[in-house]
Amino acid sequence: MPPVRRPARTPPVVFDDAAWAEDLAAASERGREVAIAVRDEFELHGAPLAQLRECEAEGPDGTRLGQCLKVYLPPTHGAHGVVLKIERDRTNRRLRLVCIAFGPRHPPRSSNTSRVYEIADRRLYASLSAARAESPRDAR
Amino acid sequence: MNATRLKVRLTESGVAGDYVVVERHQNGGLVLEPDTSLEAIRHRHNLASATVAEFEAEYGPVLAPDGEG
Repeated sequence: MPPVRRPARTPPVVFDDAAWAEDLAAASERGREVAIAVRDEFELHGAPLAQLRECEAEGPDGTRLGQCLKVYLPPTHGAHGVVLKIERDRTNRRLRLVCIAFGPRHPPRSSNTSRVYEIADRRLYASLSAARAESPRDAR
Repeated sequence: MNATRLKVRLTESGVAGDYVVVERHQNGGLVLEPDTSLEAIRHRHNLASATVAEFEAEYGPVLAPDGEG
């Protein structure tokens, strides 16, 4: 009788609704189909360990995605991808992968669409160029 | 009139959260969009930065970078 094998542990993935909505709004119809399927899959089963690839600390297009992972979609060489930031839950100290970008890997230049790496880079470094209004009354 | 990426945090029930000012009008009106920076995402989900080394220590090795991004 074969030994009972435990399913491999897979890291849970967090999707931020605001960032996700922004990415889906910019996606093609095919892109949205891919995105919806991957969110369902990752939320149910976690990220596929065998498909997680480290991003470049400095990519060929100047993006800086150190400490990030990516998955190509559909697996394993699809035209889209997600960039996942490695984070730790402050409540229970467990590791999480946070989806910080979904988008095409190589959109046609004529489409004026951002690459998934450019979206991720913008989100990672947005706070560095932003001024913060500390008082909530400023925007009421 | 366009604004720089001024960020604001609203606390009113129903609209609480981090936003970016995307338009500032001369009459004082503001147009806001949800802040989708990593900083805001961390705040919403109570997260702190971790590393590839920490991840691999817990889950095993990941594939090496492929030069794409």
